[in-house]
Amino acid sequence: MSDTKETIPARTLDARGLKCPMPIVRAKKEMDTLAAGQVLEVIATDPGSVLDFQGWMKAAAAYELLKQDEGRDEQGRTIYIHLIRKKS
Amino acid sequence: MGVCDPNNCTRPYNHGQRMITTARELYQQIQARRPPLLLDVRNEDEFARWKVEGAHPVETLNLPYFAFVEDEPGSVAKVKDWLAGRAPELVVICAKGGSSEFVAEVLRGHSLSAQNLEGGMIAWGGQTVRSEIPSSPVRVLQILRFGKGCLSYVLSAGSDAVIVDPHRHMDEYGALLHEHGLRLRAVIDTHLHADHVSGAPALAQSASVPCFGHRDDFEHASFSFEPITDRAPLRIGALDLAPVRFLHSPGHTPGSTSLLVNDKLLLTGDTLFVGGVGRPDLAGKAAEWGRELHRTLQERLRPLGDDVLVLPAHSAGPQEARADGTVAAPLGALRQRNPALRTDAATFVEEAVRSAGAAPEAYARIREANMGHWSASEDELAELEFGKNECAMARRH
Repeated sequence: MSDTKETIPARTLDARGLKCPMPIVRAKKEMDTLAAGQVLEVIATDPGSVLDFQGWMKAAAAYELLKQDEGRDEQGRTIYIHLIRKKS
Repeated sequence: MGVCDPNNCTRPYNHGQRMITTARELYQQIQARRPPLLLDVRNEDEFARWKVEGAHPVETLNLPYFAFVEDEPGSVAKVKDWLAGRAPELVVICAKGGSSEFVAEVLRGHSLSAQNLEGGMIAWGGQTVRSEIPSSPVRVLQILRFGKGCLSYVLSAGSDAVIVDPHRHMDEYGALLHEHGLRLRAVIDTHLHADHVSGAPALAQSASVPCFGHRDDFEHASFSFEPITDRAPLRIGALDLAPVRFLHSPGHTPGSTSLLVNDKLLLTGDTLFVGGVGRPDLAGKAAEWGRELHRTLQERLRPLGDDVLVLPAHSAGPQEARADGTVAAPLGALRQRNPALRTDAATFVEEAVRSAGAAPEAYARIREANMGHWSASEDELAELEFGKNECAMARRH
């Protein structure tokens, strides 16, 4: 995680406004297109996505959860940012 | 709705079969001992915190939806292993109904019969069943919000109705009043609720009728309320509903008030439940409020006759319901089996202090909302109320 190259996202998925299961369904599709070692950033507004991304990462041996952050977007909505890396 | 039209359906499977089930239907199936198998696709933490249950056992598999996203064949195989050749109705459950619909579709694609619980756990926590509690002259309807274990009541005399402890889904009460040809004359909150958003102030305002509450709970409310007078009959302007009397019963909260109806029924709010008593620790004063609660139970409630039927504002679970689905017990029976009514003050207070614990984080926000200090969108309120009520004092072991 200290290696900055690893945490710069290769792609960003805007999942704002999407309700479950869509943030993870879309993220899975994106992950399928990434090369090993690449990172996907997912920006979601669904608070349920925090625990669900953690659970998904536990269920998926090929990915790892690097980081989760909370913030606000330009419209003042609370956003949840998930950084996930494709291991292999 | 809920059944696809075989003439127009482009899906290759399950023509004419039901695709959804409602929370009320599911509850009634469980009560009738005909439960479907349940597949809960929420994450494990959410499942552990709150799940579908009823008076009779249900069999539930928890396999999160993201497992189906990640590995569809493997997850479907797990479901089939669990079914072990059984071909029952399978109901899929998630928080709001989106992920469960997704998984139900996946399962149907693998020739399994799967229905989606419409609206998910939010709907499970919001829907109700009604039962009449036979009594006169004032008639009493008990409304059980089964997923959360919240009870509200409609009292009526002739065409005049009073609603006690309404939840925030006001349309339901409007429909009920209309069905029974009743006119709403007042709304009463037995206390300041912490586990669910009260519908009392909004309901009272929409019908331009008074909202009763005890000063000790609602003194700082931002809406106007009609203060409750201890031991007084219910009067609403010129309307005298003498068979309904207030009985201040502090302890769970300082303003908690019970209602004695027809001298036969006691609406106890969160003071006394079928299986326990209201927790006195929600304000961090377990000893002080615990003492008060014991005094209420011994000096105010205990002297009422054995035949008085206790009708609480909460149920701790389906095990508290009677065979007909109502949540009620005669005071005499509670005296026999409810330890809180049998212990001395010192033991009771000690127990209250020992069992004091953290309340769900949302409870402080909900109390603020119920004082009218704060409001939010339907989604936010639903999120805030998520989960079963935790209003009873923890049980002794």
